[in-house]
Amino acid sequence: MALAEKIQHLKLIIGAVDVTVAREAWVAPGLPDGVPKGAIVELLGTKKFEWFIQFLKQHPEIRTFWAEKNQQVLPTALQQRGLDLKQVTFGLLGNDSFVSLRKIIQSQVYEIIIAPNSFEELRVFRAFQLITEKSNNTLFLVGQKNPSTAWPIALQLDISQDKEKNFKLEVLKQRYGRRE
Amino acid sequence: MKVACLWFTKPAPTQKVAELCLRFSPQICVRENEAVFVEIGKCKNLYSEAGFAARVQVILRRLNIEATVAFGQDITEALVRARYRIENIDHLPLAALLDFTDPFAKDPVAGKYVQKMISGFNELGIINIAGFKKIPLADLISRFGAIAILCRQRVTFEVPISWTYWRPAEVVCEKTEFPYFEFYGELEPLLFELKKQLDVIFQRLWARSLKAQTMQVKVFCETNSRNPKPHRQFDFDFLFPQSNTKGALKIIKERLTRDFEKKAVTSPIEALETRVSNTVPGTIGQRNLLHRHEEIDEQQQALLGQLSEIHGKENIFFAELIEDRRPEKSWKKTEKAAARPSDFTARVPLRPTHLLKPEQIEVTTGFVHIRRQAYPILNWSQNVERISGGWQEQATDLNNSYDRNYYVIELENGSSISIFQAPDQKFYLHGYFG
Repeated sequence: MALAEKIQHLKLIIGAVDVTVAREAWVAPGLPDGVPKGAIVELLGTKKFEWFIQFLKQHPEIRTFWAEKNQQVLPTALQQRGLDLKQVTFGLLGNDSFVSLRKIIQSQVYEIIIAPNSFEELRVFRAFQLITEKSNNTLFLVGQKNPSTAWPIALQLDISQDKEKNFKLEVLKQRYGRRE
Repeated sequence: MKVACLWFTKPAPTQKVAELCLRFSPQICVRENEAVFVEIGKCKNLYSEAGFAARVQVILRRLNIEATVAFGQDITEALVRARYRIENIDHLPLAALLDFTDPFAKDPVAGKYVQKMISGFNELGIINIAGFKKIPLADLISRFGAIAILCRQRVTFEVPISWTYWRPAEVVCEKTEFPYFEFYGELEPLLFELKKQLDVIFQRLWARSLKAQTMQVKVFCETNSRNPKPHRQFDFDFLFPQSNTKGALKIIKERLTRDFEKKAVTSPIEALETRVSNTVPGTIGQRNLLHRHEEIDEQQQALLGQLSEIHGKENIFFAELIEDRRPEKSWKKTEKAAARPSDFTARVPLRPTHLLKPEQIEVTTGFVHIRRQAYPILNWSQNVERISGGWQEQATDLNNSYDRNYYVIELENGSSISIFQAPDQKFYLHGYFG
């Protein structure tokens, strides 16, 4: 159990978790608390996309916007893994994706948005946090190596695989509990 | 019935000419780019044939178009007289049979049979309509069948020809003039005026059950020495047809903002014109009370239209699979989600989640060298996927021929990569699992 998870567990035992900040969550593979709605989630690790595809597969009813800087994700691979391509819209947003992502989140058309984490300024994360909360959709930011230190990120996951090819999730940071 | 035919020797804007001819008669039909037919028999004594011809010539002169005007009791009679400039039908060449059978040039199949028949008669020495009329009908039927009967009936004017339906293209346009020079290049008040125009335009379209596919916005400016151009024109070809002001205004605003930032308007704005140049059928009806699918679809289309305005149409897309074993050719971009997804993916090995432009790498014992950095190999796939082909492609595409052996390699850092070996024995990195 990762340190963040242990702390969360201990907080639950002593009743230190503020239930007022607990929120609705998406059911997610290997994550008992799920992925919170209306929040920013950062994905890290060698199997982050494989896990994310499995996550989308569990929710065939939701619309997803898959933003990239340049085209790299292979749609054939997504369908091979059981994802319905009808639910995914792809966008090559280039280097300056903030304005477009803001429009996409605010439109409330897509429940899930995934984009590369190319942001450094805290006010950008803060803006995303506010609009995702308001729109009640989840923004997945794909990190590269080190986890972002931006406090508006609600959940940080490091995803890898064990020898039996099962997902190994390490929760690096978790801000919210889950509302049933 | 009296028909006037305007025959254009060069391809001409027949729709435009036909619209101008509405002043003579409401009964008009068109042979695309070649002829306009006007029914003038019902005008009684409003104008004579000579008067009509003179007026038409004035119109044509203004448009800078040349045409022959001829009259007849029928569409075909007027057409052949205008085209061949021969008054007596019997003296017409046999090639005129094509115009008799298909005066609107819309039936290429019939044209092919008639042409074959004309060639046959020419070889027999029959060169004009008079000769054709002399052939006994029984002989025509036995040799050429139904098409010969049709030709005979048409040249003897036994069968009346139906007028094809034609009406002028409807233009939805709104223009507002600002005579008191209220605007001096600010965008916000201009958008406010634009919204008013779009509201009216979309109401008009909605009433006709239409959506706007292409739109043109013109901003007229006062011309002076610093601003010699009288107007700025913005053409929009929407990714998805627009049916409401909210969606269209966002897209137009994107373009106008960029243009105004790049090139400020320095002279007063005199007028604003919005014109819908192309429409597509829309849906009309009451909102579904049980779900909001249509509304969300419309919102999605508006958003994608806006994003495509910012990033380009080619960068906002859905994906559709194509049955091709090459990973890079196994899908294509589409504007709409594929209705029936291809399921060939079950027959090919698992593809990497990310595809890269093939990049040459080196493989040594126990290591893969990518960009001069060595990565220890944990596991090398037992199965090899061989993809080869390309021989059937066009000669110009020979560079696309392929011959590859694919391997999946697990690295010690936990990641997996997809590499292939080309016929030159070199290895290339093509994707990664992740």
